Amino acid sequence: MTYDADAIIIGAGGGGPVAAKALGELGLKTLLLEAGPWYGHKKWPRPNEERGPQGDNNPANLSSELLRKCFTDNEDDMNNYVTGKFRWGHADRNRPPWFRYIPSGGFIWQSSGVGGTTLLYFANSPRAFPGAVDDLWPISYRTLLPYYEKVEATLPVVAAPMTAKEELFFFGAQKAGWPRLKTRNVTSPGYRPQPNAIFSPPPQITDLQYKFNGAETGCTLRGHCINGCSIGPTVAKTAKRSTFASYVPLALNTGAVEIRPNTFVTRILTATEKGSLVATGVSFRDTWTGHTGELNAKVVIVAAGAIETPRLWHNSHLPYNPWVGKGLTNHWFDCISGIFAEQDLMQILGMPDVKPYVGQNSAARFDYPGLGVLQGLGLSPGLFASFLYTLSDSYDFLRRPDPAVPWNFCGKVTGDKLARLMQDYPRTLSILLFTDDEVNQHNGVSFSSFLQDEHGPIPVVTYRPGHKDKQKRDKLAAIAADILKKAGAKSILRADCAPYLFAHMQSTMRMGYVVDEDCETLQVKRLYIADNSVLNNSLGGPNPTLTTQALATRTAEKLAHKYFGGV
Amino acid sequence: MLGNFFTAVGSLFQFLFQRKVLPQTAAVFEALAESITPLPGNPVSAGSERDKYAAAYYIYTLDHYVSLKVCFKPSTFGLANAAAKMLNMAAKQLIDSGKNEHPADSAFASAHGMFAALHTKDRCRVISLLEHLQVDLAGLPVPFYKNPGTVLAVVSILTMLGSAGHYSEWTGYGATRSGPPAARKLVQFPAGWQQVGYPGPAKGYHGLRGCLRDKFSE
Ligand SMILES: Cc1cc2nc3c(=O)[nH]c(=O)nc-3n(C[C@H](O)[C@H](O)[C@H](O)COP(=O)(O)OP(=O)(O)OC[C@H]3O[C@@H](n4cnc5c(N)ncnc54)[C@H](O)[C@@H]3O)c2cc1C
Repeated sequence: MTYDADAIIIGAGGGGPVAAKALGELGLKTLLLEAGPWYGHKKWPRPNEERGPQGDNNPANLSSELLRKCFTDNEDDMNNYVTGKFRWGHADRNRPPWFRYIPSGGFIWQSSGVGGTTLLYFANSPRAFPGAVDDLWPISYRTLLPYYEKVEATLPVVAAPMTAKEELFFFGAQKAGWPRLKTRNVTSPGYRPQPNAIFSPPPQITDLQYKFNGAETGCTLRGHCINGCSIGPTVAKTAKRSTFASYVPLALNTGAVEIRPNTFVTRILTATEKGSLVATGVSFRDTWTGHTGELNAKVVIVAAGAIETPRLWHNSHLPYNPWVGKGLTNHWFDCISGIFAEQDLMQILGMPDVKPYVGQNSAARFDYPGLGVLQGLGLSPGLFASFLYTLSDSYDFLRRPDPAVPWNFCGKVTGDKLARLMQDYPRTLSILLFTDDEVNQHNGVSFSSFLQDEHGPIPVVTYRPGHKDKQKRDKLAAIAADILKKAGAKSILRADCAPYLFAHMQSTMRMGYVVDEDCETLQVKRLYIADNSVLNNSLGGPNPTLTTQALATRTAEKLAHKYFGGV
Repeated sequence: MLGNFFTAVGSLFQFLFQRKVLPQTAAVFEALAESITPLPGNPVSAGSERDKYAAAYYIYTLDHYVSLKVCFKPSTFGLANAAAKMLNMAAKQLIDSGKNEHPADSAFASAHGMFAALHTKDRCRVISLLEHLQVDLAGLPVPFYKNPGTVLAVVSILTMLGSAGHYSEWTGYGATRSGPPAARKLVQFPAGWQQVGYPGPAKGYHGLRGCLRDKFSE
């Protein structure tokens, strides 16, 4: 049999390019297939308007000039759910997005494109809490450590720089009596700078006369992590280390990896070999022309994300497994904010505002193993208003006043009140909350043959956090309010987000249930998974990508050993 | 019974084949924008240029939100007309059940629909009823008719769309907003940014205040 590649990887998001780089370095011919566009590339100068060629493997074609043209910094242009450049949809924004149905309401924030959802992520790269891995996962935390270290060195991950909003956050946390954490292996509560996959600021940052031009090496603190970071002299040196800027150039440098954007995989192909089912390749559809084709390889790695990976399993009619698509965790978010008086800020910071649009979107954090995570949040105003004031399923003005709660507002705020609160935008410090939510088999992705798009039955997503999740979230919210109060906030707002915001979807193809400890699927040999779906649980609350990337590194090593003799 | 059936079939046909934005649809979304993000110091913004922008934002988003394959062909389902009708019908249910706190302007209702005739706070009460499925779902148009999932899927994003439309750069697009996404250009400084003191995107800030700790220790 002739093969198109040694390995085919489906999806160039948080996990896929990590596996591609590792396999490429071993000299294995690897095809990385991505459903969305490729930004910052000379072969696709107008990625949202023209199909361009089929694929490319030349790192010299990456272009930071083109990247800056594509990433306009405008939040609606970049992040609109329907037409944004970072949406789950076709490269051509005149076409509708690819629909997912969430019967309990909300929206799934994922992006197609080379870089996947890391195109817009904050690059917070903490490790899992050891206590959420040991004795729960099939592998130990210690097993993960060398892979964490490798990814942290490759991205790289560094302590985030401090701007006014972080200083205020740390001031509050310290006054509230929490210790400063000095380890990446967190076993007790405390605060610390975010371990971010963002280059440290360039030396010019302290030269007040210096005018930034976007080609600096390092973070210029301009607050657009979420709207697309294009700061850097080359794509490979872009300040925020989305995989399109980190692992993708490294994978291309190996000379063994080709990336094909605009290629939607619709099916995993299998055959029976010596009585067991093995993966042999994929069927795909060119998203611009609609042409379909097949590619085969010795090994297939799915890295399509926590929703599309189970979808591919289902749409490929792979064997039944009661955990496929099930056990979704998502950190049930919330957001607690404080509004400060100018004179108080003058006293604490020596300036009258905190300017949430200055600095990395999230550069301070507070970890609490057993409950979850709090982290600083500062955004441009459209996204800021959405996070703070719109994600609840009840209105502040319809609540019965409760003097026992530490917040002055809770729930959706609209009308005059919203206009007034938004006038305090420059003096608002926000804290995002991630709950250590528990795995529940009722939560997850299912499919109905009734609802289909051009790629097959679409995902129907269910997520109802449990009673314990609510308790943890409420405790964390109270801690966040206390930190803000201690920092001197005059009023406190709780967004009280319904479980509407899907941004940390994980654990839908859990290790130990759908894949083995090397991330090969239990029921189909030569089929591996390298994205958030293999995480066994919610990690205790920490942001998932670093752990996915550590596992993807390990998975590539394991599969090379098993099927390519270690090369 | 039979009447219900014909109404449901009629609304299914309208949903599938009505492509034009109905006049009341724009009125409903202008009213929604007015209740979520009124212009500061001006609680009644109905009919303002800003509300027209906001309504266009709602309508574009909802009309491009859902695409499914029907009879082997991908089709986009315009949701704006149906969602506006749902808000009008739920508004009527709010009034019928006496849950509105302010009287509705019935003269206004006949031209612009019941939702727009409500006080801004009562419009939020309508959304709240829908969010908690406290409406008679059999009284709603297709695709919301007896379908709690589609009601929640749409209602849960309405407030967010209002604030995103107002506080993002959208209002700066001027007339180019009605073009395809690639043709939109910022022609003026967005009103929402001005209101909140956001200076607009910059290439960098001299905002560094040191580092809490330069290195992690293990
Ligand atoms: C606003 C926001 C901020 C975030 N910030 C952080 C953060 O700071 N730190 C953190 O750890 N996490 C963060 N996350 C989450 C982070 O983005 C994800 O954990 C990460 O991207 C997941 O990687 P993945 O490979 O599982 O999926 P994705 O990154 O979503 O990648 C999946 C890729 O597969 C492609 N694909 C899907 N189906 C197919 C198919 N059938 N054929 C071909 N290609 C396909 C997709 O187009 C996509 O490119 C954030 C998320 C959001 C929304």
